[in-house]
Amino acid sequence: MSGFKAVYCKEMKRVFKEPKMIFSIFLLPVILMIGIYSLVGFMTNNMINDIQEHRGTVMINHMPDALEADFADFIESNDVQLINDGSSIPDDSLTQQIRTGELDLYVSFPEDFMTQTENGSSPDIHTFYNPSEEYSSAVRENFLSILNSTVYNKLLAERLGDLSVLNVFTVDANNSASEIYDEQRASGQMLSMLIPYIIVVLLFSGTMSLGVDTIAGEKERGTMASLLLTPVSRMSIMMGKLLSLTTLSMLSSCIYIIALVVAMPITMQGMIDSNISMTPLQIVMIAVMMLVLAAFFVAVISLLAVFAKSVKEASSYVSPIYILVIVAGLLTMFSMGDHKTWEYAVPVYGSALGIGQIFTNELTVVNFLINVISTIVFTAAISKLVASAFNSEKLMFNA
Amino acid sequence: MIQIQHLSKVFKLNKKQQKELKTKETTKKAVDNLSLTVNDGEIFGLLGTNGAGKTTTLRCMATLLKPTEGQITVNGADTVKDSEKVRRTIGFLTNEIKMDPQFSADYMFSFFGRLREMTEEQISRRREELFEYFGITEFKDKKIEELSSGMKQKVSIAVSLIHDPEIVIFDEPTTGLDIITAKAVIDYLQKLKTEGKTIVISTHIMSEAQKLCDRIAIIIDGRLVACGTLDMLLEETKAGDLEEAFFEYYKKHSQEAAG
Repeated sequence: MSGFKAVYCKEMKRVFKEPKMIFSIFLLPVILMIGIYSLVGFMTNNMINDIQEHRGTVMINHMPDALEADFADFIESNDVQLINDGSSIPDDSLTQQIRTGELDLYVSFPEDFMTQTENGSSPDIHTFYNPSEEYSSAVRENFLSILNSTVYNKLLAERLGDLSVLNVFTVDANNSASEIYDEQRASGQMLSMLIPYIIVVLLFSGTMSLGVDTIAGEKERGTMASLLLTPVSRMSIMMGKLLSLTTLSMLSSCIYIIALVVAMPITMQGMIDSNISMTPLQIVMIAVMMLVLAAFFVAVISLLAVFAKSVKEASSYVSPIYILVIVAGLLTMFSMGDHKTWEYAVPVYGSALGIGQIFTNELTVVNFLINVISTIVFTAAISKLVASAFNSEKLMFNA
Repeated sequence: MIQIQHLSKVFKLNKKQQKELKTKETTKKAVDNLSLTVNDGEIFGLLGTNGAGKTTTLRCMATLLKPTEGQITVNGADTVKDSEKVRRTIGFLTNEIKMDPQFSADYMFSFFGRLREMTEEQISRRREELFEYFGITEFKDKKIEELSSGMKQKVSIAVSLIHDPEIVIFDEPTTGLDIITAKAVIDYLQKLKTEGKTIVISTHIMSEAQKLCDRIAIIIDGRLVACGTLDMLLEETKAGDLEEAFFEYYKKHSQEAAG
């Protein structure tokens, strides 16, 4: 017993006595995460504001006098040139300006536009713009939104008189109780898509480098052999290492998640409804699922590391598994609808599924237990394999 | 007492190792039908060139490796069936077994003491004795990675002896050490002998074997070629010193192997 404890304490001390290790395992990923999210949020906002504030360069040919008032705001917030001698198709120099983005929009009304509309025909208004230029598309959108609503309705009213004859039926015109939903579930929807994937990937990556080092690294450095020379049982040594890894993995994941929950509302303004409240039961359920998942990952990584002769070799075994884990996490991000019971028994995938459903209050007790027990069983089986590997002189001494 | 009976150790070679050793064989017999006895209270030396099988034999003794054939008993305990008991009785030291670089000598000493279920008091006492003798006290709080190879060796020796084992097995105890540290190690081994310990060392340094060992076993290509006191070996080969004797045995062995 004391052997297991001594190994466990040493492994924990190895991380916590080194400021560099504490920083790189616990703090750096948090800083990176918050930094990246902030940057993305900031730049997105910037981009949106930039487009909104841009004064477009517009040229309108044969703008009917009767309509100028309707476009007053548009003319004020853009640099609009009204001409009466242009052609219905812009000439080469204007076309070039549109292509380079110098000119955002060229509009040409037919010269007799108002006359045609009053006579019952449908004149065609030409617009010329560059869809690959953001400003150009936005300016045209603005122009069309005025044209297709205010102006269109005005001219239609002049043609037909009373427009109410066009309303065959309406939908929800006076029904404010149309939306029936569980507020918790709706706001949990977003989180249930994002968080499971993040938890699963973080738990794995947090364990990866430490796990590889404490087994393959120690073999490589020759420090594993010194442990195996003592009367401490192989099982105790193994359990000391595996449990310390699980502890560290849980710790780092909790820190990341707290950082996420704190940072996301700040940086992704409005994308996530921040009145999420979690009941103690939900928190306990998530913690339990994370714990067994962390233990599972530790067992898997240890198994891969014990078969490797060096840290490099172990990392090459672990990388494809990392990709599988990411895929499993992503699958749950996009999965909708009902899930069969057996899905909860699949390691990693089932956990991600279950964690997501905790946020939307959909996880049943049965499915929760299925996932936890299944993960524990798999972990135990893999740990047994690791234990027998610890007893193999070929694997432990690179003999 | 250590008894080795018909010990053979065979390693499987993978393709890479086959290439390195330039052989088409898929196995390598590192130790071949070796039998010998180490008596209580003596310093016993395994003498041979690199790759002769000395380290493999010692590792089998120390329970790190399992014999392919044969049996080793240490004070009556079988190294395979009672490996934990054997590990309690012995202290094993080899160059390839290292200490964690980022911990201090002091911490590693305490750690191994705890692994051996010693009380804090026992650990303190041993620390005083061993650190004092080997002059470790002045650098005991430095990280292992900051120490010179001589200092590291001293720490390794102290750690391997923390539990005051009856039987001490040292694989090439002075390789890589400067002359002062080497002498300190040899003096300590002799001190252990006066305390009644049994010591097994392996070496390829003739002078060391000659000076230190009560009995010597000469191992060539995994086989025991000769075993006895220095006088016995010199008489058998009519040689002037151990080095000469060794070459005589080597010559004879090569002739036998070729013929």
